[in-house]
Amino acid sequence: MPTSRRSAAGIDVGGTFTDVVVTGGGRLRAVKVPTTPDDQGEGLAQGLRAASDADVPTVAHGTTTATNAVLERNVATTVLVTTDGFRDVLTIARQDRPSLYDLAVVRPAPLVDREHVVTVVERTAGDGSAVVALSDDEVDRLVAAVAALQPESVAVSLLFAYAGPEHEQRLCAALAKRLDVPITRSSALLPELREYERASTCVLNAAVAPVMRRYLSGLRDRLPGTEVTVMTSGGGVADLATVAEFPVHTLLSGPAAGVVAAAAVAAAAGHRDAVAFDMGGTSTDTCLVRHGRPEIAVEATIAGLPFRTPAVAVHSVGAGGGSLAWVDAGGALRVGPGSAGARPGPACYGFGGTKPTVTDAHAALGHLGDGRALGSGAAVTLDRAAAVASLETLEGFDDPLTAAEGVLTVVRATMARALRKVSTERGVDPAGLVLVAYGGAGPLHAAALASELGCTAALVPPAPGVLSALGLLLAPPRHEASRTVMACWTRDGRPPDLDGVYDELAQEAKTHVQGRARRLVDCRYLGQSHELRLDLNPGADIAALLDEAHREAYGYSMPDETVEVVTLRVVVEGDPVLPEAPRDWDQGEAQPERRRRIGVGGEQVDARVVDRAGLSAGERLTGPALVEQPDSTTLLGPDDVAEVDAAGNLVLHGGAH
Amino acid sequence: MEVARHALAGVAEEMGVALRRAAYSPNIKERADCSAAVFDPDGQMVAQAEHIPVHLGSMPASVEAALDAMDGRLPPETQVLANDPYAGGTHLPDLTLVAAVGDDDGRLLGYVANRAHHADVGGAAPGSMPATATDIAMEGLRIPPTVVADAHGVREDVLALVAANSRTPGERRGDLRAQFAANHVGARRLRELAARGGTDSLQEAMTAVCDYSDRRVRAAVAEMPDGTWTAEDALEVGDGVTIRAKVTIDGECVRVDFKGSDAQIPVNLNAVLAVTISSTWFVFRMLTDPSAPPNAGCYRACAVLAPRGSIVHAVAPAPVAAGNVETSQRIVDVLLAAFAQALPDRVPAASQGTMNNVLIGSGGDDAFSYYETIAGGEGGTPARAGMSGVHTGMTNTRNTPAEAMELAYPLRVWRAELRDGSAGAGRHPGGEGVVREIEALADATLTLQSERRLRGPWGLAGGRDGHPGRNWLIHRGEPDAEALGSKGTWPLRRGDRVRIETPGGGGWGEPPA
Repeated sequence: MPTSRRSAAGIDVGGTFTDVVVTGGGRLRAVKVPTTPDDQGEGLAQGLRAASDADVPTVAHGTTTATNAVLERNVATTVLVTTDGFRDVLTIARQDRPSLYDLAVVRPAPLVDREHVVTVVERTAGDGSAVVALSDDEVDRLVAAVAALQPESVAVSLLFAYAGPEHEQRLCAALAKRLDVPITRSSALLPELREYERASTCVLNAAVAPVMRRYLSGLRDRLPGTEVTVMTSGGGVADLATVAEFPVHTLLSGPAAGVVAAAAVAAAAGHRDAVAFDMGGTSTDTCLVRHGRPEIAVEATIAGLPFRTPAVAVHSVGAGGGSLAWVDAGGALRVGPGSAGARPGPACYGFGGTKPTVTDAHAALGHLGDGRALGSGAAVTLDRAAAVASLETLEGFDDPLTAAEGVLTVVRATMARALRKVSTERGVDPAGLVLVAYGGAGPLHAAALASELGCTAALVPPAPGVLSALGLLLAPPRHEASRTVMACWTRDGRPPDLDGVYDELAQEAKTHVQGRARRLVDCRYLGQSHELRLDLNPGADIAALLDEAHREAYGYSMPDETVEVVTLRVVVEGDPVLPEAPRDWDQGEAQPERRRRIGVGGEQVDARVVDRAGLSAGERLTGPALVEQPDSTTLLGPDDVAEVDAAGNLVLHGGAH
Repeated sequence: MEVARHALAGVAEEMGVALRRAAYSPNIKERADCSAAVFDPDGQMVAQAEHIPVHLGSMPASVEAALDAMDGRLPPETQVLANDPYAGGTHLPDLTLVAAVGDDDGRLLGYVANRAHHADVGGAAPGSMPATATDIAMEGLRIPPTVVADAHGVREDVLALVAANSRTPGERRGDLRAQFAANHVGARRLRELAARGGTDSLQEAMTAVCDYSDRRVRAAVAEMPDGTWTAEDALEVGDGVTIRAKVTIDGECVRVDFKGSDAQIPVNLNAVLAVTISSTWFVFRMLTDPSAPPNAGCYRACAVLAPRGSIVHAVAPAPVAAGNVETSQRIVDVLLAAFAQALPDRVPAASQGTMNNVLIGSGGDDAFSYYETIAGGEGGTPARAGMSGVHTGMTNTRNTPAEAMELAYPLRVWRAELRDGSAGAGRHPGGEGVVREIEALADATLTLQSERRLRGPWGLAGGRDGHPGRNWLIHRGEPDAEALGSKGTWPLRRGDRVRIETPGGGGWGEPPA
């Protein structure tokens, strides 16, 4: 059985709802409760109580505590300590501007202003040797200067500290003696090349450390005796001690859990290559899955601030169900980036919204049933007339239904572009992938997008609205240790022995997670500035692997070129709570089948309306049809066909709209 | 229309991604000194992936030159390579590859093109931007529009000729392959678009997106006051070389006339017409509708006139390598100064107005070649203070991290900080310039191409000028630094340090008392 015998909960805290998925005793159960923004732990505990009467010994938790702290700039007073001569490393950044032509767009201010940067006279060279020694007097001066600023957190990031950490270690030890605040050391957090990205990562970590530690300690009090793990951006979970030390690893954990679940759903259906498509209220996240694993990005940003921790390579676009439709100065119909938000929300929600949204277009065309209650327990009843009225405000259309079709066509074009971007950017043609559609609005567009991109099929998992919470239970405990080594050799020379460093990295990673260790290497041809990341079996020929990977990724290789190894990594992964995507869900009772007139592809057609709970494996549906469930609706056009597979997924095949 | 816009923009975007992914050299991969665009069968640009402003107007000029050379039309599957600044190019390192795309019936759908800055195309110095060049022959290999692929495949012999003329032929082959890969992706996507909606509807969509941008831009120009304004500024070479511009706003149209600008010179600061057009379009886009879909329609309402043989419309055999990187910046300043009189509440004070090109290298067994441009201060705007330590105007390339630089070259970076006090004061002050101090750990040669070393970037509306930049050479063991000129080539001995202080931005508005 896919579900484990011991009871466990995946609890994902979103902007509006906290989703809980509980295993144990056979079927999975999902519950949604309102999020408590001031202390997410309160809603978490409520959700857990609502979902299960019994004690749940294991909780996997997705939290946006650190993410929100950065987005709202509600962060700790942080001091950055860096090498003399590099005081403005955060301000100059990589010296580029965010918009070529638009003067209104400026770079985000660093989280640490100039007055809170303290420089220290010392210098390490690229080989780790000290060019300018760090004197004891300088250490004393530095500690006093930092203390005088009364920081709540300190980040120490010195030049070439990844190659020679001794200066950082001495400074941090002296700071820890004097100050009782979190201290982030770059050679511990991210011993990798590139001073700006390393400093930025350290500052993000330091700035959220106090708020994260407060949150986690509150959580420990709330759930005594429970084993709690926390989702990280890289698609794994980590224990509380690790997250308290390195909270920067949770910054992009929000979309990561959903992608992990999407990968598992695709794998259970027999597809190792897929593209995840999560369309929510205000934004849409897309991510490529290859060989059963989500793509991991080398670098990510939050609010324009870069950090280099493993992060699921999600591409977000600011368009979702709540995005506003409008006609611009040139007469073109546009959708987003403005959103109706939770209040007033789409016009059809009846909270006073009058501007048309994507959801209103669906409501007007009958894709969402008039008078239907939306969400589990949420007090929204759909008002189709209000949706039609909002669409009448769009100029240049003969009637509101034509406008609604226009809105959906435009939003689909945005989505198709986002999906192409995550696949082609990695050299993968979207034709040949399966599209996994989730989030409240994803399944409405799944069939049409799969047809447009030429995907093999679209999958809608059994509970598309709580997929992130499920992903928490599917995510393995994961820790990555890395170090930049910079070693190069010519093809007739002998490759350096890297086993010693790999063993040390594995040892370090295993202090955080017990499990299987994988070796990875970031390498390139000498003279290139970007590395390729390769999986490495012990004893493998790195040069041959690089040639092959370069040919696959870029279409050619340079088999005579000198090879340069930049960074070594060890990833240790343990066993997730659930070994694979579950098939048995508690879906509640099925409503009888109905029929409804809906608009699709510019025509009014008679569609079947089927309740998802009433569908069983092997069942087949031909469009036009709607499959309704409490957290989502799946739309089938006239030429689309859906089948329920053994795992309970709706598998859609098109038909073009 | 909105769907077609997304689709065509997607083609250009994917080409840009393919180009950067497949490129070999840091200049394209990391600094993104490249661009990609889609054209209709008449050579009208319908979408562009925007990386570098200076490629704005010169991409269309390259396609036009390629078409002119081939009697106005390329047969599908033909690809043309060119870098000739006198035929749509900018400077010799920028290589443009144009591909004609046909549907299954052999009907021409349009063209895809991409451009990449190659690190070396021969000439008198590594990097192909010798400060000493007096004519274009000294700047490297000049390629007029040349057929490099047709229905029978790629002309490997021609590519070998190009690579053989570079100091780094392997790198050139890698980067050229990336350019072919980008066009391959673009052509495939364009054919898919035609297959999905039909060739006729694709042609209509191409026209529609350009008309749409044209409407948006004209609407923005219509809101500007009518009139004629003039401005001038000088390049710091010899006794000064003056650029003059007259800007006329007339209803929905703008005319920019560079009549009265000085004649071209036997120094590499000459701008070819494509560079002048790019600089003009940059200012025009910034001041009209920066978010209008980038295509030919954005610039229909803007006419550019520049006298042949002048510093802003150089003719062969004038050297041009720095026209692209330095003169382009000065043209932007002159035009902003003219527009500032018409739009006092829109135009910012002058930004650093230079790219501070630094080249350090040596020959022999331990040969190396380091090239970089350094950020400076942005001018204050009517709405806010200028940003500090940022690239402005016609470039937006990223810096090389100190840690990456020291591992790659015998150099040590001692300082990379803001230059305190360099910004022009104002109600909205300019941004600060940058100080970058680099020690040579081996004997080497230094070349600098910089501007705004005599007169700082101007302030506006009562704001003060930013401080001019300065270049210093600190000889090992000597107490006093030697002041260097804005341009030139100097020997460096091991232990010598170069200190570049870049200009601060001009301030906007009277500074508070």
